[in-house]
Amino acid sequence: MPAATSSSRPIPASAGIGLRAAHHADFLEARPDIPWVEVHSENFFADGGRQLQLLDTIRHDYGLSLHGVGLSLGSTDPLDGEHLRRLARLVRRVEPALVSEHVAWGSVAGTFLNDLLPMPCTSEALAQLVSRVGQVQDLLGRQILVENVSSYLQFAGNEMTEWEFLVALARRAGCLLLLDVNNIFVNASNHGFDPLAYLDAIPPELVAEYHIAGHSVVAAAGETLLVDTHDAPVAAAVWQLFAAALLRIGRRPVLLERDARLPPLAALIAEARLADRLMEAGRARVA
Amino acid sequence: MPALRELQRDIVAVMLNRAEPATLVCHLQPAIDLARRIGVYRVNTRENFATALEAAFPVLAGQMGGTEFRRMAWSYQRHHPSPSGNLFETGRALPGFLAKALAGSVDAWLAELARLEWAVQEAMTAADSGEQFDPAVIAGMAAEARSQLRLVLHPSVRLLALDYPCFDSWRSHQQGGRADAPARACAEHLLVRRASDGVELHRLDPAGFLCLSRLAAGATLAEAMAALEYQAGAADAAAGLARWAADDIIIGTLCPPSTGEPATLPGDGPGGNR
Repeated sequence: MPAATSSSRPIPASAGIGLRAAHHADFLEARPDIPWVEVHSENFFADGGRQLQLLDTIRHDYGLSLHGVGLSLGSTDPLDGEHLRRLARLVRRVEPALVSEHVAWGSVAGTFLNDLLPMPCTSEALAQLVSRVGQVQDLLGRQILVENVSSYLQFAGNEMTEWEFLVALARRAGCLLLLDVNNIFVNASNHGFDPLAYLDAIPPELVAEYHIAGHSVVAAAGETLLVDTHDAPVAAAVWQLFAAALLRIGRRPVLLERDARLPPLAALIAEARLADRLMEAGRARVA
Repeated sequence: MPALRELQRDIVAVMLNRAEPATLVCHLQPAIDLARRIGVYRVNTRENFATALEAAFPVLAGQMGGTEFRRMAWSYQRHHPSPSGNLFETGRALPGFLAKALAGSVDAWLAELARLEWAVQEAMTAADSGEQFDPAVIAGMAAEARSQLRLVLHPSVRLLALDYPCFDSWRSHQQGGRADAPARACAEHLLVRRASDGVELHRLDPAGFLCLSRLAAGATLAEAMAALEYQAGAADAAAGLARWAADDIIIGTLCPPSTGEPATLPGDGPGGNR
């Protein structure tokens, strides 16, 4: 399987932003000094039109990552052939440096929830995902990254921890990991585990990218639930966990996700650069 | 049934309100407030769906108001849950759903507005065309060959015959105004297409609509032009054709098929073209 690289601009171990439609015009006008951006693959599944022209423009000057949210990798349905065809067509067209999806499911019997539901950590679910990641990688002819998702439920039939499940998936499917630090933090709080134990269990060589994002805190009925809303700045505790990930795993491309209550583009980029400063500080300490 | 499939079917049923959250308890580890945790996913499922629809049907959403639009969106989701991981597809069945739900009511025009907005969505995402059509090519052809020619429309072109005139409402919304309901039902023929700076709508007269619909259906130039020439005369019809070519609505020619049945023409059957 080819490595997760392509002929497009490479993505350095620096901060990038998730580029959303509300920022498209500002981004094209400002051409900000940021090395890479990530877009949701499905937003560019059109046959033609302005959206695709935007990607054609951006990819010449910026590293580009395609991040899927709708493939439903963990579903027990067959993979959606039309979805895969459109993804493959987009990958051929824009030659992204990275292609990623989620360790999640969102459909069964042809009905889609368009949400990222967690997988039970069972050998059956693992085998399902290994098979499907393999199919996707074979079809795209390249290695993909898979991202750990936030969750609010744990399954009674779990046979292993989430991190054991994730590492086994990457090893058996031959894919790489997109480690979402905010999701680790959210899940650790919601399910009561130590997020540092999670990080300690992840082999650095499997990690190709980080995500960081904001979350919401919902307190009621005697418990506090963290919800992965992507509608707020990154929490201080998540920055601390990101610093811990840098110490254990090292520098990688890091992507700031923001999907709601979007701040102005310049403010979003300024927040992303905090990740660069943390990575620089870590390098200085090592030196 | 394998455990994973059973689990996924049960969860989907709960998320779409087809089963009670309690049916999931056997699959889940205990938590202090399990219902609220399940509720996060139920809210996501509904909100993601409604938000995608709102983005695809902004004029309709503005006309209905946020609360009513969301109520309608969730009802639509129960009848037509998303068929794809690509949220764009969620809107495809909405005009038909509204046509049924609103038939005979004072809001029946909203179904036609939804048809218009879906055509705008399709035009926005249709394939590009690198072709440039020179009408002089036609002028230089022998009359017999010209009459058998089949023309190609830009992939983004959508032709709509609406039962209510929605053009003014749509345009008013684009200009930041209020999209008022049409005063009464009456036919309106529209051409929707993507131009270099966005999607455009144009009113068509019935003959122009019929001519373009016939071309879109694969009719020969002679068959399509007959409608225009009957109403406007040969010279004006030719001028209309040249204008469509200059505007990139017609983008090329197809060779006439050597064999086979003639195309079924719009307007030949009862009810005309929709």
